[in-house]
Amino acid sequence: MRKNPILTAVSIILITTGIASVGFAVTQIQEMRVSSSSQVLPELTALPISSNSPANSVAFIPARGDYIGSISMPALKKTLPIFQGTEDGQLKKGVGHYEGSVLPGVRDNSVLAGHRDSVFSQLGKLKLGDLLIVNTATGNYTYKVARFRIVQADDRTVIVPTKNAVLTLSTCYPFRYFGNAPKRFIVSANLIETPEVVLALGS
Amino acid sequence: MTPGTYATTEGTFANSGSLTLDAQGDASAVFIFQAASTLITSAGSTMTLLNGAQACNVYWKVGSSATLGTNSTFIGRIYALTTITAESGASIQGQLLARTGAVNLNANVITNASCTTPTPTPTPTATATPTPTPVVTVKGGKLPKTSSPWYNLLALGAGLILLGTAGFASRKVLR
Repeated sequence: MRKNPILTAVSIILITTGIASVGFAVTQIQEMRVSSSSQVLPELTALPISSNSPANSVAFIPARGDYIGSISMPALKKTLPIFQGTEDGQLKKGVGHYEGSVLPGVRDNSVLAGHRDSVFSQLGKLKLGDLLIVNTATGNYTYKVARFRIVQADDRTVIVPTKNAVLTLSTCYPFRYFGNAPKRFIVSANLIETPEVVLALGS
Repeated sequence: MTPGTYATTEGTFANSGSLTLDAQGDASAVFIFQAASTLITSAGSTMTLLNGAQACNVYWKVGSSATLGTNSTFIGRIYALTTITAESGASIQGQLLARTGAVNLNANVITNASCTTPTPTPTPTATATPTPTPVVTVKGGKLPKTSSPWYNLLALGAGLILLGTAGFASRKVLR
């Protein structure tokens, strides 16, 4: 008597591949958490001069991938780096600034996004009135959390212009979910303090 | 003046009469002025763009403060460390950005320094250019994808292990 050798072989291949996939995924998740929480923030000295722009010209508009500042969330005891863009490359390193929105501090809606399993894993612990402090080359901007929302991933009412200076944080929801999370957790905060004058008069 | 970078390590940039920026036919020509201390334009002084020069390509880096005289005309973007003062009636084509001080305005006209886009020349291959951050936030933008692929891989791996285990357990005995 012997057992079906083909089924045995297929089963072993499936189990082996499964273990390898789980191991690799766990390693990557762990690496992403460590890299986004323990990095030393670069120093901001002046208005950013983009390394990607032609002829090293002065650029007030950062290029994709540029480090543009940091966001501190005192309630969560976290300070995270912000990079220009919300592609995989930027979100792997920290918080991404949505390129279709204004920079933090400007009187409009500035949108930041981050992974729910790394930089924004504790976003759900924020409370109304908590402070968010954004530091960029143009100054420090303090926002106060005013609203939480949970929307569908394809919602188009979050990234819209606003009359006042608003900071919008977006991450996937539910926070604990296997696969592509179907919703987004949205935090809206209003600018309450800006010590320096920044005029955005044109492009 | 022709396109290029002009720097003064100790002194001040001052325009007391008429300053002409000549791009010599190149619409992308850049003029950069770096003043270690101050930028001062006299009352009634003027600036003129010539041969395709554009206000969006004129930059003034000012080490301390900038003062634009009464009823003067100014062109370019000022990046000043401290204060910028535009005196009564000064007309600016550009931007005024002060880092640690105030931007003082007094009955001024400030117009946008946006570039006019030259007619694109067709190229055989498409090149991707980064989307610049706009002056206003787009309406109805698509929310960024913030899920990482590793959780999908984790779920897939777990599924494969379950499937393999089920297959292993259900092997039929061959005679």
